[in-house]
Amino acid sequence: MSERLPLGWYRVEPPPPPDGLVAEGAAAFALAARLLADPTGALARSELRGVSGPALLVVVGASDALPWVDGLCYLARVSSTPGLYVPTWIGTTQPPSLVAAALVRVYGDGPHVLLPPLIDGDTTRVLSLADARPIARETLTRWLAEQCAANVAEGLA
Amino acid sequence: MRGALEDAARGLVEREVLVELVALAAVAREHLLVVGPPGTAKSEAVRRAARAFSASYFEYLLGRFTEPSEIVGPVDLRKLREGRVEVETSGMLPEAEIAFLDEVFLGSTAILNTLLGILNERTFRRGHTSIRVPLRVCVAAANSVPADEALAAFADRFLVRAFVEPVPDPLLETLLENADTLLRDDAPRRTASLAQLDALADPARTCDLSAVRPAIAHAVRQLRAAGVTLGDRRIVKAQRLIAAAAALDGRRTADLRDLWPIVYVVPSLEASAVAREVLRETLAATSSASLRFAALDASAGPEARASVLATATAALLDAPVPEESALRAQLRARLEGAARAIDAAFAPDALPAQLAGVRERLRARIGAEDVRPEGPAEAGTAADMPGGGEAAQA
Repeated sequence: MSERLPLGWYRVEPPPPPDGLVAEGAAAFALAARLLADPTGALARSELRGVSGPALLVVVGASDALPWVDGLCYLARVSSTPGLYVPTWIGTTQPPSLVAAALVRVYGDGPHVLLPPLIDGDTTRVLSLADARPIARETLTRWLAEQCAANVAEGLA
Repeated sequence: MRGALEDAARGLVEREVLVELVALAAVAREHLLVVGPPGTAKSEAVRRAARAFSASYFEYLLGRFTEPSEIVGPVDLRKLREGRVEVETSGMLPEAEIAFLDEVFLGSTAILNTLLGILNERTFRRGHTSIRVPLRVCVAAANSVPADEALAAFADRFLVRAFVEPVPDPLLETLLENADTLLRDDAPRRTASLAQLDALADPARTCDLSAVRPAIAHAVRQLRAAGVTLGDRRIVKAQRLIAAAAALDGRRTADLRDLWPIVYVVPSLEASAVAREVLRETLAATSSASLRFAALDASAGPEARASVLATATAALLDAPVPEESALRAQLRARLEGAARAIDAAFAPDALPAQLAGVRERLRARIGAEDVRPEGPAEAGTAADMPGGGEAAQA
């Protein structure tokens, strides 16, 4: 027999320094452009690891290496549970280790990023960092081009 | 006064709290003990605070063989020939308005007994010399809080405690950049006057604390429950610091914003960390317009944090734009760092009003300096970045 427990959130004070970020939509494109534009920045120094999706980038790295563009959501790795990343200003009301274990059971190996609903009615979202790799300039350029092409195709449809 | 304190701390890294605590202790007519390793700018911070208030300053490094005459002055030999034991105090501790005594616990019993009178009663007595000392605040420094009972009793005379550590890794570049500021003394700095500090002492002494006493008692109970015990004298005197915090912010009635000094009466570093954790909710609403860094350090509350971020970011935005591209890139990196600090510290729907305007300026400034990638993006194969993971619904 299993029991579902509601996943709740609370505000963390003070917020810890960030260990990663999530960028979606326009913020993701701006982020990619920013990373590519800085020839001596974190990208060039291979200080960032990440995963991507359609109009989505998730990047992890040292706080000082994380770039900024408007619209990012900064993540912190939960100190007691390194396999779990959540937005810096919140924590889960359920013990993080239980949450992380549940995520592994359902979604496979982590680490995982857990994003709370932005508005009422939304669901909590889970992103996997299991395949995170150092971000390469070439693949980021390719990703950006693909996203631009997809946007154009959408616009023409 | 806010400007004088800011300029006093300019160039020092992570020592703003110490400069502000000197002001707080001076208004409260209490003394400050700074605990930390050598070479962490303790004396420099105090020296600058003294200069900020144009106060007469006395500084001495105590040792095991330091004679009392080295800090209070030699016996006046002319008067001694006349049969009177009087001390020539010119330029010495009894005439100082702000004093710094390094390695205070190395002092002999004679030294500590001499200091007790000066600290407690603000009176220096030796032989036929009996004078009221103009001392507003004595700052003592030590590597550690003494375990010896007799020395601990002496240490208890220093109500305010500050614990300093070497500059952390992320700020090492800033420390090295600011080294020039530490060595030069020619940059103009705003100053206040000791009269301004003195003018606050009376409102602090007569401050109405009735609204916050229940909160103070509650905080003490919370600390006791967590194993942090404050002596009765320390609890009672903590009120003076709370009153001083209110007076520095121009109020004659203390309220919950002024509770943050409680953390600074906790006598040890470990207990201080416990206190910050235990009192986090109690101190969440505390802040100070005059002593922003000290309030933030004590409470880590959102209002105090927002205040410090807003001030630091505004200063960065108002800094002149360098011509050289390498320096511009450095400034750009610092602007991004400030934006990152703001966005990581607050949820978008919880951004305090005082930060919203600054953030918008920051966003516009960074956007204006944005550099686009050279050439068009290449069309490639439909393959994700290495390690592409898909978003999934929980």
